[in-house]
Amino acid sequence: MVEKTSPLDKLLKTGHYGKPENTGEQADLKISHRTCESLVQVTAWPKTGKGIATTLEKMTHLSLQGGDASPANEDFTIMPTGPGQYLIEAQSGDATGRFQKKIIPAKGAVTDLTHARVVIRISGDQAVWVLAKGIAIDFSLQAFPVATSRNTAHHQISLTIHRVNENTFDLFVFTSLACSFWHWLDRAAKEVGYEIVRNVK
Amino acid sequence: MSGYRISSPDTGVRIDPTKLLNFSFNGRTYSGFEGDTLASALLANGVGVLGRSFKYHRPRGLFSAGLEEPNALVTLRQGRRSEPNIKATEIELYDGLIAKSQNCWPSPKFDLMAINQLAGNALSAGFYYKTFMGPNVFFNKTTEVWWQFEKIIRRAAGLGKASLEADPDIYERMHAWCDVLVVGGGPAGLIAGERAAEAGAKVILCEQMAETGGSLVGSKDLIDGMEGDEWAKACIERLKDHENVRILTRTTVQSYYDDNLLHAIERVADHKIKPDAFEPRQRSWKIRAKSVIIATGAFERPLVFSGNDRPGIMLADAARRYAVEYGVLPGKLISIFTNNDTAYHAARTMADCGANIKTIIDVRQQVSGEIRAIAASIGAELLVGDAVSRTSGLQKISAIHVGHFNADSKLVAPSTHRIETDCLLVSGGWSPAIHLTSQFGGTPIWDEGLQAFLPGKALQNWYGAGAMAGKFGLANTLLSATDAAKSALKSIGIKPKKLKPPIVNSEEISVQPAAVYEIRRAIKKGKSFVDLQHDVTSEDVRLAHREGFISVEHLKRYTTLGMATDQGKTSNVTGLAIMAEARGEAIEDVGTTRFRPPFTPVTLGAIAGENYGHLKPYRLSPMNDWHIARGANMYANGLWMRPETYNQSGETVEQAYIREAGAVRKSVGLVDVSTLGKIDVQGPDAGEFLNRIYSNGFAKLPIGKARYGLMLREDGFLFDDGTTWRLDENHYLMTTTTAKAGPVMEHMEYHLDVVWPELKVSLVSVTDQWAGIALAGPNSRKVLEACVSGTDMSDKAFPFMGVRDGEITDIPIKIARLSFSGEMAFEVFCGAMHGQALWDALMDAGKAFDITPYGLEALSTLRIEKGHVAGPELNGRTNANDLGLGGMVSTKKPFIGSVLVHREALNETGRKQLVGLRSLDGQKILGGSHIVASADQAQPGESLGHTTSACFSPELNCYISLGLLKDGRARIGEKLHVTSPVRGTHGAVEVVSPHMVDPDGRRMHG
Repeated sequence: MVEKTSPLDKLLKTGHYGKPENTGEQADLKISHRTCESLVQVTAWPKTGKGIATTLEKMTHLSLQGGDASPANEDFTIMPTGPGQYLIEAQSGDATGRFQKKIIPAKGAVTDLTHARVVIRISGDQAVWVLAKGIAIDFSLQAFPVATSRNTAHHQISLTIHRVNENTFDLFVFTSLACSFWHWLDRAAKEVGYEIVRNVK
Repeated sequence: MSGYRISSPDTGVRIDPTKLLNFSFNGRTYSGFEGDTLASALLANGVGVLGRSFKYHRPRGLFSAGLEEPNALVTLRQGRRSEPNIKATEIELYDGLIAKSQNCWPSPKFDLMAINQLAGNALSAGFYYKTFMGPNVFFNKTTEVWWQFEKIIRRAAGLGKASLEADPDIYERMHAWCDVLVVGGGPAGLIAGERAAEAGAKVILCEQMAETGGSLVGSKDLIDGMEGDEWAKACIERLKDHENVRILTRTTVQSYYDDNLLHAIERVADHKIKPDAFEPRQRSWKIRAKSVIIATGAFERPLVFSGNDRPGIMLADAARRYAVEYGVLPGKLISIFTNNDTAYHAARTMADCGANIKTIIDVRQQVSGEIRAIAASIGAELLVGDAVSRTSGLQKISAIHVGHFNADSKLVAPSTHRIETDCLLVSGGWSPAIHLTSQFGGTPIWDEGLQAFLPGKALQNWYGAGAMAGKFGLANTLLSATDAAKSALKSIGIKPKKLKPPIVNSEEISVQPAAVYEIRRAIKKGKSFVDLQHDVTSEDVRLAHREGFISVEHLKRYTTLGMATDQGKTSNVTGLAIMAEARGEAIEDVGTTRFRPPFTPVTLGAIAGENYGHLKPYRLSPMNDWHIARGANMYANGLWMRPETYNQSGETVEQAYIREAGAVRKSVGLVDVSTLGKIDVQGPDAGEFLNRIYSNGFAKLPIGKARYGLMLREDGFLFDDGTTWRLDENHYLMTTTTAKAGPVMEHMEYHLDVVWPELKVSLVSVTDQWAGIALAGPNSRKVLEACVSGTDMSDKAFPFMGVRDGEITDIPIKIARLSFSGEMAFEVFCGAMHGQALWDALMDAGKAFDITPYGLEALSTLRIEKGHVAGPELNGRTNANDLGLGGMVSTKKPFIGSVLVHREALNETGRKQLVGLRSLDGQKILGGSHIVASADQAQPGESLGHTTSACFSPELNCYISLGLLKDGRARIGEKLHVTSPVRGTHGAVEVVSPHMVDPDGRRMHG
């Protein structure tokens, strides 16, 4: 199989950018990016939501707690994006087919979005400060707890944000808009200085 | 020299005398101290004239010490960072600062435009209206007179000049949420913020100055046994220890919007010569607060009298602040003119700092014994019941003339005293800074005692504290602020802590002034200014009244009172009072204008934020880099960047698209169609859903086939078109036009969610999932045969409108045999991140056939030749019948638009119909030209329609166009003309069928 080419491959080269790092210290803010092995949207029909949730729990060994809870393990991250609607990142390339087999049309729909998003991970004490420059959501832990996700937008660019831990966020950005989004994020992060690192997921 | 630096170490609490800073003003070098403002440093250096006034070019000096400053506007910095109209009172001094005066030439001391002072009444209120739009003068040619004088007047008008160079600095935005936003870091704001923080609330405190403290800076009043200054510093330190508190200094809350959204500007680096690397100059904060405590204090007002604008005349409290905070006195021989007690407090404080207060003139007929004692204690002569009738001086004040004031007539008697002075401090009462509360609706309420407007009813969850709420005096201020904090906390469900109120030991001074705003002389002589920044006099206000502009809104527009950078912070109430007197009404009956955002001027950079260089985000196709490397002219098509043409050396755009389109017709070309909207439609009811959305039938579309579909709006007009591919029993892939991808998605989601929620259908935008490449031309199939595996590409196995899966170099693909060009053509889709690899593979496979990449222009040329419609024809005013697509409107099923599409008006004769047009005289046809019958360019006659999409056709070797022509189909064969009066073109055309190339579809199906 031909390797996937992310639009950010040419832009995110490892190194330090922006405000000079303190002598002998690395920047607090780390940014990496990845393409998804598999990314699917699963949609339940109006009366099949519970069944779909059960199926997803069995397939992923994750517990769907409802609301905006976005549980994750080594193989899957499930982000609810609407009633009966989930964006699921899987760490194996054949996950889309497996979901399609289990979720038959009578229960719901599975749409492959593996190529439709790139994921930018931003982590560090300054992550919230940088993100809050452009994204109009409350990043406090009370309003946006760890292991939850948000669908939001920045400057006409839609994105899904998954809070991995207090200071680490995965940003699922539309592929065609990734360069434009990066143009902003790079500028926003340069104030505090950041380091591009290899993908750590 | 009208001022000097005080040597006492007890004054100047904001400055550090050990840190000397050099700066330049009007080309001359001066020095000041760290902590100075430009205003205090200039005052210390004895610079009295800082600029010239707006209309009359009168010399002007410092008038205040804060953001209300009407006079001391300067241009700060040079070159790309040059910024006009900045108040010297707000500029923190830094080493190397460069500033210059405005509105004067060659210098503020000698300004040639001061000749305007001779124009006198000619420049009164309504100057422009009267001079250029007035009665029939100049032979009824007033407008033409305006044209003659406009350039001169425009050059003379205005204040500073903006730089024409691009601003090099970074401006940022920030979004923040909090439980309690405290606006103002004075005593009220500090204690309110602390009370909220201690209760556990998430607090943001905004202070416009570099340091918090407000009126406590340098204060000797005692709070809990500590001097005010010390208490404020301790309070802010305690606040900083709270994790739930963010303190924003140099931050002005500018606006108050719906849902407790407030906007603030943080001047991150304005106090430096330039921002540090990667540091923003300013940051625009959008703060969503559950509750707001507004503790913005109050502005002192001046008094209006003849010659009240001379340099050396200053607000009394401003002078106190210069002495206490910056260690500068504004004069050596100071007089004070007041209508209230607070000026005495300023006088005593200044005297403590070493000022020589010579005289205090008080318009009131009586003052208390305590006040008399203050005057006596500082050795000032006290003239009660008197008023300043006029001032003397050339470049600055040198004397005041004082006479007895008649409280009933508001007239001052001929002067009985001439008092030598180099500084006159004035105090006409205090106006609470209610701007934010007024912005959001609450009508201000007049307080007769304070002679001021207080905040009206709170229409959002805010609470006033301190002077802003009319609670003057330190004890009152702190009490009102703790009450405000309690109310704010309770309103959001946070229980306030029970804390003892602070013990205050301060002298409480009455702020209630006499209701005197203007001192009038029996003989009208000299100008009495109400609005110093816009040179509006009290006579201008009365003139507006005489001419019928008596409402406060008309008064403002007619005289420009309260406009400009200070927005009348020192003039509004006085102007209203004078209008009220002219109307014979009370001020509260005259009312006030509503304050509008922003509170102080905001830079355009801060508003633009990150929207620099481009105004919107951009979308890039997976093959974008290849297009650029190939030399494509990239073209913004909505958010998408698309190749317009791939120009070869020396080619024009027209030559390039003609070559590209010709290559497609001759052999094969490929074009990037990744930008097409793509929607994944799945579910047991997907077919039914599509059948209702499209005007033509989709219920029976076989698996593995695509169909061209028309989508109508509910009103029967065309909405969009595209093909939908049936991938499986319950799975379709819809394509839309690039421009309508978003609207179509919204349209379908609306109908699914609201109109037919019972349908089991999933709609997901997959525009970014798929890269799309269209391969067109007689050799297109051969190219695919050379590289596709896993599917039979023969005509029989892969008929027109067929959809197949396959692979190219291990890349999974979907192929649909569709044609927009009229040639045999295929659309090949793959995962977006494989797009470039697929493009490379097709280019490799096409080498043998001289494959040519083509851009948007050639794509358009090919479809115009074929007569396929696109955006210019689907313009929101056409229906299917207009475009010759009436056969695609089903009469056998209901669908969106199926009722209204049959409206009589949409089917009557005389509607514009799609036709083709061929140039008969070789002239280029321009899109948007009128179609007319007349050959006479000068008299083109009635417009019969217009051209929609035009190009040069390489196939027909002439300029062609699609057009919408009245009863067009019946006019095929007619000779008409296309004309564009705006662009000066007029040419002969023949009306032809829109299907100008391959009308029977042989090539497409071949």
